[in-house]
Amino acid sequence: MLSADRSRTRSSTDRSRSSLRALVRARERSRGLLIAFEGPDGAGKTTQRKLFKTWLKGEGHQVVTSKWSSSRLVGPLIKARKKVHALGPEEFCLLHAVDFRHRLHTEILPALWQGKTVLADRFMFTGFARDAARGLDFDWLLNVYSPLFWPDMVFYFAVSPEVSAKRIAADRQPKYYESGQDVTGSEDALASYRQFIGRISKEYDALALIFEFVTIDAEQPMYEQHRRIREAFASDRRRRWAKWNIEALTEWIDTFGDPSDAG
Amino acid sequence: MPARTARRALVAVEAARGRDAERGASKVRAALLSKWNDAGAGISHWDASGTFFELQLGNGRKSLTLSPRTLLLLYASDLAFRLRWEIRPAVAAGQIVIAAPYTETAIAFGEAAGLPRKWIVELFRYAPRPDLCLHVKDAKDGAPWRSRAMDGFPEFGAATVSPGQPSRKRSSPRCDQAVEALRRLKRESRCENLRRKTLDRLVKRLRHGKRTASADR
Repeated sequence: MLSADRSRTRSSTDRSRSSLRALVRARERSRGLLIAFEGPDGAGKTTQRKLFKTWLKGEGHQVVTSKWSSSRLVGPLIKARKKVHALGPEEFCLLHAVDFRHRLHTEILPALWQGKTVLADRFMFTGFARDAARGLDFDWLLNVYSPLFWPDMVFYFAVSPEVSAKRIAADRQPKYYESGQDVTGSEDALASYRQFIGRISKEYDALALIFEFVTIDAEQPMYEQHRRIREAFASDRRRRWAKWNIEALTEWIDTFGDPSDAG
Repeated sequence: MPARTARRALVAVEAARGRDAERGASKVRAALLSKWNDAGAGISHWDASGTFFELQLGNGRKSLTLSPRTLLLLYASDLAFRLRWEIRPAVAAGQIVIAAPYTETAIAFGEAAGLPRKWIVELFRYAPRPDLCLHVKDAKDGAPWRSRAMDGFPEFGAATVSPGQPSRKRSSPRCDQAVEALRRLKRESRCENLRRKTLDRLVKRLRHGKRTASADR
């Protein structure tokens, strides 16, 4: 009896899931674009994201920006715990995954659904690179961030660890977690940063191949980088929503309701 | 003859309601102490990190809405905190830790809320398997779930994952599914019911038997 009940529930869930998938596919044409900016600290992502945003607006796009670790849900909490060095690698990873999932559900997906262009200043790849550099298993990380949401384009600002360290040190002392002092155990923030950023860059290089990043040489002059971004954007801007994306979208609609109903 | 020292172990206490888990954990601890004076036994509670408390307080939010996945990630982050600061150090020091709740409550709740079991089980891969998993029966006190969000993880989940349910209502369909999923723990042999006999066996096993815990990994 119990198993019959369960199989009935499963088949009705399957039906509702398939109707949600149809709803998502119907939106594919009018949806907005998601463009992520990734790379180590000091690579110049934020500057390029701002330049690109201004240009996109000039081209008539409605643009929304979403920044890493900025959700109202856990952003302040992460900040407070980082300040007192209270996070272990798993907790660090999981709280950022909460931040990411919440922003995906409350900022990114609603904007895409409405046809807006979303610029993500760091995306889940930041979590992968940093957490893998902290020694966490990559398969586990993929699961934590599942269902993955693959952006239309990922601009990867490649910079050598030396240049990254030089740019960061010019302005300020690297912070405790930024410099990876929690895993290197080094007292010297800058020395730890040099060591840690090397690991992060390696992870990014691997991710760039797996997730087909558009690599931008972040040691080139600023305008040259901007020109390269515009070129890449013009030539290859839209990626069909992957199976993962559809799974993430159906889950979002299942939780928060049909966004079309909200007008 | 040297004094017998406490044997390190991790005991999980799972329940459909936060208060039942607390009650069960206290019972286990009392049983251990009454039959074994020098058993160092401590309880690791839900939300030791204060994450859920801070979310509940945060900006005076009245209607916090979370997806089941976000909720489970939050639980996993709190459990990571408990493992790091409470469970692992205590077990390593030779103590018995009663984790109330541990992973099965979250797995059952997540499944009931529609998440794939495979994803949830993999999420908790970092958490060591307990030596024993005990299930506390639902006290069925009839109190509304939504008004007791801070009583425990299932209550918090019920209040945030199933918004739009009137607060006077005892539970939402998802809560009912979660309760049923937690009751299934026993039937699926993932947990043993918390009974006097089980407790006696636990004390005996910890005093004389072999341990299997990997919590000090």
